[in-house]
Amino acid sequence: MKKWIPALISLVVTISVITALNTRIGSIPPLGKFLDPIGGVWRNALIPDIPGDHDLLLPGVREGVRIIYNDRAVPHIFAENDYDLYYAMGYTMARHRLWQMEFSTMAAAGRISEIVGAVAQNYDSHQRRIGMLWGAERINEYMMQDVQSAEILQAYSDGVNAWIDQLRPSTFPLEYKLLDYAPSPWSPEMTAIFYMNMNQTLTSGTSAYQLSTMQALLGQEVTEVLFPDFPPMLEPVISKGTEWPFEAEQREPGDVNFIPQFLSDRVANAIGERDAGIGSNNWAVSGDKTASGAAMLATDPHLTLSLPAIWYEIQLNAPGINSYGVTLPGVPGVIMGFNEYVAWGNTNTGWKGFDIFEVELNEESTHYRHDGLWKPLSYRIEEIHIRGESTRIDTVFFTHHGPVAYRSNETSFSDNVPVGHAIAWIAHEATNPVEAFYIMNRAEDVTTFRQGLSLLGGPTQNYAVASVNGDILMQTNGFHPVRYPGMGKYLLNGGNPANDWNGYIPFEQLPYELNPSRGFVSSANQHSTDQLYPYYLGWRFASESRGAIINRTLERLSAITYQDMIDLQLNSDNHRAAQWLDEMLAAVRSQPVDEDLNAWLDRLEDWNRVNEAGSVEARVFNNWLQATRRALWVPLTESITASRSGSLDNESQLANTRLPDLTVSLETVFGRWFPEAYRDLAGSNPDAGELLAKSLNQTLKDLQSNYGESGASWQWWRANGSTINHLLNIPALNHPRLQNDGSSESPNAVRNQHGPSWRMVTEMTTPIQAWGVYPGGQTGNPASKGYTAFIDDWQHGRHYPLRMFEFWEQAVVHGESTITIKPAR
Amino acid sequence: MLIISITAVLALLLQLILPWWSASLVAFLVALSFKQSALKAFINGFSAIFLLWFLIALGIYVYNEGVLAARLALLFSLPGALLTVPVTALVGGLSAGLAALTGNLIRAAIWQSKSGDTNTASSLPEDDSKVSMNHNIATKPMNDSI
Repeated sequence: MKKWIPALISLVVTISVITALNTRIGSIPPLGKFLDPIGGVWRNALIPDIPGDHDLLLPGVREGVRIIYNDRAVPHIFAENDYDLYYAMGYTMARHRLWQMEFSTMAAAGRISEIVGAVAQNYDSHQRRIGMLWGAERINEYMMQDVQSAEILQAYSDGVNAWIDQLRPSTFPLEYKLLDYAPSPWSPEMTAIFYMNMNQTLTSGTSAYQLSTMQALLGQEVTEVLFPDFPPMLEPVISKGTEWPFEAEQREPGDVNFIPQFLSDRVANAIGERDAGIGSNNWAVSGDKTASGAAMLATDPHLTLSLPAIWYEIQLNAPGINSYGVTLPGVPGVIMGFNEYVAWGNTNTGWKGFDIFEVELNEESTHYRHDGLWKPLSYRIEEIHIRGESTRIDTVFFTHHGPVAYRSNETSFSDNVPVGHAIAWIAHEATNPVEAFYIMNRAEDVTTFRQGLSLLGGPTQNYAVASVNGDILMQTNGFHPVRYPGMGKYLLNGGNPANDWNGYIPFEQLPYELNPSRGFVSSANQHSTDQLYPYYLGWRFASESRGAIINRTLERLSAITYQDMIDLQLNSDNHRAAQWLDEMLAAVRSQPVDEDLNAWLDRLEDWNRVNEAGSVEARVFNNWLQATRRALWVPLTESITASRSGSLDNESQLANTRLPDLTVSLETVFGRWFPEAYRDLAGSNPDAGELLAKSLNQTLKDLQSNYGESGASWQWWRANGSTINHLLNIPALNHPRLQNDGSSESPNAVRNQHGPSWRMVTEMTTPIQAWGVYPGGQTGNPASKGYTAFIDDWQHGRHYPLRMFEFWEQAVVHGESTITIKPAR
Repeated sequence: MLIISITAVLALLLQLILPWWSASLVAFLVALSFKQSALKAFINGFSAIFLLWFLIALGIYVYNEGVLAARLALLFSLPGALLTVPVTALVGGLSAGLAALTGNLIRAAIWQSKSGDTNTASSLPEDDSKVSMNHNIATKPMNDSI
């Protein structure tokens, strides 16, 4: 019997070790399972980016499909009918991007706790509370009512699932192995959820909390001067002076001077403003301005850059459609690209369809106050499944405005003041993006393209379109609530029906421009229109910088070639320097300056005013601008806050203040923007010379104390250089920091983690010629070189020729390999 | 060498259809079937799977030009990409070595129990029970070596 003791000990130890190596512990993957060179992560290094030639029998396919891959792993899909086309699209998308497709939708839906456990439960809860899943369900239901859209979504879903069905644990994408879970079946609803994801990125967020705080501190009049609806140097998307052949639908103004009772920075942070520095450019020029005589289109949407890349390149060909471009993981159709007749690209409109209403709830959370009455709240139960733990149940309350994200008793401020905030968001409105892109992908001219676009409720964007018959169009789409002037700029009183959303601007009355006399259309997230447009579109748009650089360049150029377009996409000019540097230098020189400072003034004067990666001057100048802005406003805000609230310690109020933007700040410094308003606030005019000299000295001192003497450590890229992170932000899967030119204020808007997520140029000759590149690679497999294959070419503006084939035989000749799919019977 | 080869080949075949721990299962079963000292059993089991995993991982490393290995090295804070190959092999080797040791000890216990149950020492070779009693030292020359 004694002999069994060592055997038993050894058995227990062995089983424990093997169990431990088979289990994910914290963030450490199950080491044995993960490192196993046969079925673990090493196996992923054997998955080819481009599958070899083969025939395939797949259930559900109706007539047969050919998928031809080019040498960059771009699939060209040739099908005989729509069902087969979208089936094959789902299948090919899943081959390269399955993990990303599923993870993005789970993140949007608030289901990350199912993968990583309780650490994500508050994130998940937040997603549910702003109505992500609720909105997705509404949109899915709406799309599935349309027979054609339902068929496309089902086909796509069947295709993704056909790919999932042939996977084994050993061939799961790497991230499943890292986090130790398995893919779930795809369903049409996932597409609606991904669509909500785009809406969250592009149309959520508000600065209303900050503006209401400023209004409470400064009063309405001064706030309107510092945060104007129309800023100085307006460079709108639609040509200035455009007249509009209609009157706006009238609505009574609500309570514009509403001061909210409750300014909670906790809520403001939770549903706060999206980074205003994320922008996009697009433009189209008429044939009069190009070398070939054909219209041209350029587009580069800026997003948070990530790996796997957000975009996926594809060609879709079936009876009625031949389209090439980029698509999003989980979305059937080409989102940005071209067909045989038109090319299109989109930028975000600056203003968001996202408003916050202060609402009063009763103590039991059964009713809310509206129009002097207590009206019943509806509610929805959200189950948050947590890996390894019991399910968390959240109740989300709804007013007619939308969900109440956080009730006041959920904050630490007060347990007995039943005041919360409701969100009204266009993403909660039913729309059918599948149908919209179905029509746009098949558009034969700008008219049919607009018909498709009119069905797309969001994201709200500026679409630039060029056609082979020479038209150029700029068209805003989506749900834009009809607002009284100022509505949504500040927190809204949700108890007053005069503030309710009561409809959207009709598509026919949204900003658009067809073949304008200047010979081009362009947008860069700046103001959509000037003051002549009859509706109120909001106040907070991107600055004029990128728009001004693009417009001045396009005005100047003639006989444009595709290389001119690429050069403009890569333009890293510092528009602020071009605008103000000489004046700033002159102002500082009007002061007594020492030798050191004088040397810096000379250096800045000689600078080429381009945000080049290696430029020290670019770093100094950009920091100087920010220091000037702070020096101008912070002392003022602090003294006002102190005088109003009696104490500077009131952090919750300070957190919500907002500084006027750079354009308003510099024009104020030079006394050109409502000087009397500043005088009223500060008691005197700003002394430009003193202020600028002081802030330049401060800038140099700060750089010196943080990075030592001027040199390589001061170079612009060290502040502005971009990283491209994996969606999980695990360093091992990220791309190291790039030494790139640019800034958020240049057309080449590469900055930190943001930048042009797809650059495309098309020339509308017959056939269309096109070039494009995105920062990533077709495969989402981090074990492959292909995962980051395009990044270097993207950074340096080396666009690839994009070839759209008419017939599959043509594609085979130029392709690397062919998959022939036949129906399995 | 024979035991190592048998273990490695069977493990490779079984791993094509079963999860990674099937390699340890093979090491366990082989150790159960062959008479060896406990140390030898551990070393043989360890070596078989260490070599198997090492060679496959190395092959993939070369084929993949180290792209994956560089990421794995970052993930596990290893100073060099190539180190991921022996680390991988170590994980497989260690679990297989332990499994083989367990197999060997169980084998020894079974033989001894049998001798105890039958009450007749003659049914077992004398030296075998000595091996079991003193399991770190082989009393017979091994026909297998590493």
